[in-house]
Amino acid sequence: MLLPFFEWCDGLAMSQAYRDSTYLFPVTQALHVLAVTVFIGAIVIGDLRLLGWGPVGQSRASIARSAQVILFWAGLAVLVTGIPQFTTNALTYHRSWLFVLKMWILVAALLFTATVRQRVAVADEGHLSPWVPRVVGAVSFALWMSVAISGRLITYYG
Amino acid sequence: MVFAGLVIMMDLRLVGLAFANAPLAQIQRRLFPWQMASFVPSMATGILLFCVDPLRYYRNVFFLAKLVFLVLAGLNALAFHFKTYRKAEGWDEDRQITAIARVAGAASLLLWSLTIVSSRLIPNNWFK
Repeated sequence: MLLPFFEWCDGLAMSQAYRDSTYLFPVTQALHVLAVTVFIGAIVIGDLRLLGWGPVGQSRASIARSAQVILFWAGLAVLVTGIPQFTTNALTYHRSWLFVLKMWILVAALLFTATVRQRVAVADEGHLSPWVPRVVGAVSFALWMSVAISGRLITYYG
Repeated sequence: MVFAGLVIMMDLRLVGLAFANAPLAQIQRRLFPWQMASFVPSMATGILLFCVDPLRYYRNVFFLAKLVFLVLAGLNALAFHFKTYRKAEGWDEDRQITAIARVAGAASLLLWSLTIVSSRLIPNNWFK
């Protein structure tokens, strides 16, 4: 269904430049992993706090607000380094069930983080029953770990 | 990834870029057990992967670079814990200690970033 889009990505000048270069792709890939690590760190510190562990000296909202800035910049770096990797091998990814799975989990994780997780994190403490933030923290952690793990597995199981 | 991510969160606090309203000593104390808990599986699976095919890593420049950065990052963390962290309480008021913490945090950010980047480059042994 989306094949024309994948073909368009494959034909971009940037994709050709990446295919022609020995260094461009691996360096972009390495920076992607670094950006992902920072992003996941900002997610996990918030998830720990939602679970009632880790930085409990600060309110959930305070940790979430500080983490949000890191999430934004690291997320931007993840995107900028992720897109050329995708377009360079767009036709391979079109056949990769793991890539499709990763994208669906990514969409779910982003939506969950921007809506439910965000609301629960900034809600007044004591306003929610104690299990709500815990469940939200656990779901968020599971979703983001699934994105990272399925991403890493694309290399091996296409 | 969880390990390095949490270490980087602490580093960002040390250099003063994030979580500014969390006292240094307190957030350090509360993140530390989670950093250690995630360090163990990270180290164990890493050693396992190495043992599967050690010759693959022999004379691989990025693998060697990774080990060097890893050791330096470890030494930086040890020095920080045993020298600076001893005087932990009242950190946020002490100008000299916040300056040392900034340097240690910046060094840690750099060294862990280099560890991660060189690690991802291991499959491309460019300089044989």
